[in-house]
Amino acid sequence: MKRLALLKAGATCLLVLIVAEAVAYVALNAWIPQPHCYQAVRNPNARRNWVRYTEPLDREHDQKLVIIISNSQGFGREIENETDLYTALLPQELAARNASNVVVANWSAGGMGGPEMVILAARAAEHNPDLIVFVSHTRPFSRGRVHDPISFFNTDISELVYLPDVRNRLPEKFLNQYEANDHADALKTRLSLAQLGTRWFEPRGDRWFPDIAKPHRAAKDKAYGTPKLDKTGRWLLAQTMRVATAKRKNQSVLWVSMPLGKRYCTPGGWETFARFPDELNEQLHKQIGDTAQVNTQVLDATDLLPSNQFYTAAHMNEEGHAAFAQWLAALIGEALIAE
Amino acid sequence: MLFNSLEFLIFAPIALAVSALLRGWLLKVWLIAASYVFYGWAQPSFCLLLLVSTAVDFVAAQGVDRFKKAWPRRFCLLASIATNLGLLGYFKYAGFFAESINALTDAGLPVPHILLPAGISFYTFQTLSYTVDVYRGKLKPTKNFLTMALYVSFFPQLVAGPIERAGHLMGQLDSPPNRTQEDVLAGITRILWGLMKKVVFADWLSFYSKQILATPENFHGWELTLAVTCFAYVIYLDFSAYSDIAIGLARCMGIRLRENFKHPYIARNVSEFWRRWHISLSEWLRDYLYFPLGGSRKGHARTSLNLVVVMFLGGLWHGADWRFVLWGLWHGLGLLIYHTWSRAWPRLRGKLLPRLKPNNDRPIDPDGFASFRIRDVPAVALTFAFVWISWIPFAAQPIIGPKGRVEQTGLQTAQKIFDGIFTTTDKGFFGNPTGWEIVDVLRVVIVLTIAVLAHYTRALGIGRGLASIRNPYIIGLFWAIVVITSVLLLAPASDRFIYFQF
Repeated sequence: MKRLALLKAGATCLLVLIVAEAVAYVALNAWIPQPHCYQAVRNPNARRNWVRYTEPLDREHDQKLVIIISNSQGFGREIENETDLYTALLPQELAARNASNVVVANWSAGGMGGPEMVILAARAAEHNPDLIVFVSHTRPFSRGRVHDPISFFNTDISELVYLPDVRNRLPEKFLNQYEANDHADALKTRLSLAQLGTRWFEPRGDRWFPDIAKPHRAAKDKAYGTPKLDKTGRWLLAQTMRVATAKRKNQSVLWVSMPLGKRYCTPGGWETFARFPDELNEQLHKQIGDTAQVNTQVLDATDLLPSNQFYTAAHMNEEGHAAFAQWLAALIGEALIAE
Repeated sequence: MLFNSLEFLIFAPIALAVSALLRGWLLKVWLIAASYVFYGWAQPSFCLLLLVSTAVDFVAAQGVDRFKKAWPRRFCLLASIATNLGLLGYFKYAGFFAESINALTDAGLPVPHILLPAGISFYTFQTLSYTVDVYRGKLKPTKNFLTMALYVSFFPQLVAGPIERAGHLMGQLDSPPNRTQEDVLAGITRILWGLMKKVVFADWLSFYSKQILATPENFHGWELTLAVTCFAYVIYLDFSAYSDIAIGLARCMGIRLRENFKHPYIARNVSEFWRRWHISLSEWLRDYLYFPLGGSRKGHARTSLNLVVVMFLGGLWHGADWRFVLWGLWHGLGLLIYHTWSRAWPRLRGKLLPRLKPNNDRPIDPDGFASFRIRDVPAVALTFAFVWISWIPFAAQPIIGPKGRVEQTGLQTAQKIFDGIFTTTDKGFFGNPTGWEIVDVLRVVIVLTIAVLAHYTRALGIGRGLASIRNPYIIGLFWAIVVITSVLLLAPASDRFIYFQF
């Protein structure tokens, strides 16, 4: 075969690849409907829908944006009707408190751990929200969780880390520790073909937590515990705080130690959970010289709700969600009106 | 440096392009430098081991050839064996043996945690075979240290084979043949094919099987069965993909490496399986272990023992873990049974079924193709089932807790997988998918089915005419389809090649 043949083969290959990439780009942006992270009550990303946490909300002049980042509790595990979630009830509760025209984006995902919260904090900051609310407890930052890789298979947060505006906010140590240097994953964020493949071919397991409740509600008394925070967990807490305010120094941030059903927790576990607000304040005070944290507040809701408002230790029932929404709205409403 | 990494995508074209411009000793120097860069990318200090192995075997082979008396020749040979096996034994097995002795005797030996140099199992065997072949008079030692260094370090096959023989490779490295356009086209096609097997099929199936087999107690028997079947193809596709890429890279330089796989799951018996699976290793074990132990020349009992010993060591070669030993012993048992059966069957057939025609073992087609016969199906199925069982311990990973403490050994995990499939457990054999949607399971089944069909159609030589297509536009289109398919089906987490751990 002549030398020219090699060039012909190469050129044909390249041409076909360019055409395929162009078709994939058009398909993704024009033809295939993308789930909207502001319109969906449950985080659509949690089923690997490659949301990318869409472009910042194009807000009307008085419209306010609240982004909630939480775990399976915020995602609504055990709750069948998504309008019963506290995140869905929050806008109405806020409106009742004269804080109207508020968009509440629920970026909660089941199994959300410390590393994922850091990444989402970076993404949330890009959206210039009026308020970022972290609703969490010790477990995502505990030593049993923070040494795992980023939980790629229940969300695409591990691929979110390759978006430039997210990646630029994250420290090198974080990227190395959580192995966020995979070239195949980086390729997925840059190529439309790869994104198409992610949408169509990647498994959408509900191994961690399903989006539609297959309620198991089989909570046992005194069974839920957590390892304590270690050095890495505290470092991740600090990073989440830092990254959330990296873009705007006066970004309003609310940390809520989430409600838990005491009856279902082990005594030792409950003790650790109850210390979470102290851990948060400790990290906050360490950054107190940094003006970026002036608008960060810590609230303790650990023991807010009675155990009969829970299906399991960490998952409220409908009554619990409603009560939590009211409590949260009272505090958020003040913050939003004051701005 | 991994084949499926960005660094390699940059490294390979540069290495190949420059090699196209050079000749003679300059070419050797360039390839040696490139190979050492390739090998030392993650851990430069390991290059020293490569150099030591090269130097010792170069000198030992010279000694074997130069000395005429038996004892100096044997001394040189032993020096080579001791160095290579010593390196392998220290880096790979020191910790394992210490742990095993402690477990059996409470001796309290310190357990060293030594980082395993990539490819040490491969290149030590390759250099050892060189010295042994010189000792046996099969070839003359090279007097050119550059050739020797390149033979040991040649980057396409350095870290995961094929394990080459000096008689086959050294001549090509000493005087590299002129590469042709056909070589380059065939090489690129082979590389792309290997990448697709790895990135699309192997990684995709591995994503499923790994999670299931890591915690088998959480899954139904059918899920474990599917996961083990996936693993059977993961390990085949992963390893054969590496060999494809290695062979393709070498072909781009006009160098022909040995085939390492010939459609192993078409084998009709365990013996044939080992003539189709990891051929370079099985032939190495045959030539440098089985034959020196006496092979099949010393009676049935000794042959059986030799088979078991060779497979025991073959299993141990795969890893410092008792699950690999178990895997090896299982295959040893299979070979023993087959050897016994193949001796007894002709006599039995003659007495019981005199009209049945003999089904003699046919030599394997050079390309590994097999003709289809209905009566082979039960034998192929039985052989696959036998090999399938052996993958259970191979796939079972130990669970390592905080601070490196082993919380569950690989054998214990294998036991759980085995129980989940073959005995009654809490989860039972049947049930709804655990943590997966039906549509996800269907995706896995479809990808697995494609992999299985592709394997058997190629094994039967179906579509072999496609390989002779010369139209550059069609070849280019094929490359594009391979790349597009690979990108579309990029697995959620692209693993390094499995055999790198050996």
